[in-house]
Amino acid sequence: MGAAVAEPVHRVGIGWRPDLAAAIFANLDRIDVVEVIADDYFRASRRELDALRGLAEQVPVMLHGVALGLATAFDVDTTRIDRLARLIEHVRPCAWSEHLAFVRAGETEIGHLAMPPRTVHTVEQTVRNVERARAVTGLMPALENIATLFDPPMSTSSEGQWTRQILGGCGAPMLLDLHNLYANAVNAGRDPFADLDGFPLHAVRQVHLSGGMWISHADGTRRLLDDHLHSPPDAVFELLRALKRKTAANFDVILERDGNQPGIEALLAQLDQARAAVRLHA
Amino acid sequence: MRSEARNWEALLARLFVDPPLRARFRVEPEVVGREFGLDERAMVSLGTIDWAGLDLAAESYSNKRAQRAAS
Repeated sequence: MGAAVAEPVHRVGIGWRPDLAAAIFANLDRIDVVEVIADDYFRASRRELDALRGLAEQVPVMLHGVALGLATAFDVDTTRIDRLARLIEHVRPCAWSEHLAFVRAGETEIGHLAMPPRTVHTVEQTVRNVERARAVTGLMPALENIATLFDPPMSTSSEGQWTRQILGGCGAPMLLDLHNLYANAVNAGRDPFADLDGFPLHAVRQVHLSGGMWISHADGTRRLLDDHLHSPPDAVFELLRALKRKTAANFDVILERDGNQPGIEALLAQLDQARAAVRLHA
Repeated sequence: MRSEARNWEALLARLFVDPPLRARFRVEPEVVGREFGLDERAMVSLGTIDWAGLDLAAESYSNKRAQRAAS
């Protein structure tokens, strides 16, 4: 008889948003983990920080950064890492994550996540930036693939290859956003399930689920915008099932919903849908 | 070259936030590219620019900045 193999563990939770706070507290028996936007707390009062620490004592909390800008040919801003490190020290999250994106270049602030040209130069500098972030915070971040409406010129590798090179260079785990993957694939006319195979699935430790809407350019071009204001489409849950079939790793699943809230019961139903998708042999 | 990668990022960031520059870039991409220090190899890639994607991305970023300013 062989030794029993431990079944992978998948915690399923939701992104913390102020308008969902009461509902999340009222349903902690159905929420395994909560993800908090770190940047929302960089200017928080001591009282707000203590409240966040209190939340982390009731339910596992993961911090999620949105503006470090780690994936770039420039050095990451160390003052921003210091700020994050102080928050991590205070809250003591079970993990933290950031995006494979640049958000500024020199004096220009884009104000959101943008994909840099996928070249050896951005791989090398991103690895240096991630290692610096790990050294200062004491925790290696999980790195998230982003949605992009614009594929950067001069890219020499696919998004999956580029991500593999970065994660391979720094040893970071991956936060795989399945709607970002889906949107990028359909916007480029590719098969999202083929794109899934290109990412380092063995390194996935966190998954994001979200939704979006179709937008149009004046020339008639249509693109799927990842807006976090709509429910995940069926294809995202299909991708979650496919991911589960392809890796035996433990990973947590987080539902992201930034507004246009459908009500907590609908959100909890989506968490149940995610749980069913990652159930073994589903 | 690393400086080339930085030049590209600097140009992209400005194109995302500066509509007049984006309009000029559409008309004379090589001139704008040279202003940002792009080399001849980079100029070749200008022929493959996804203009609709660039406009939609810039609009999306503008909306994000406006939402943040309003909150």
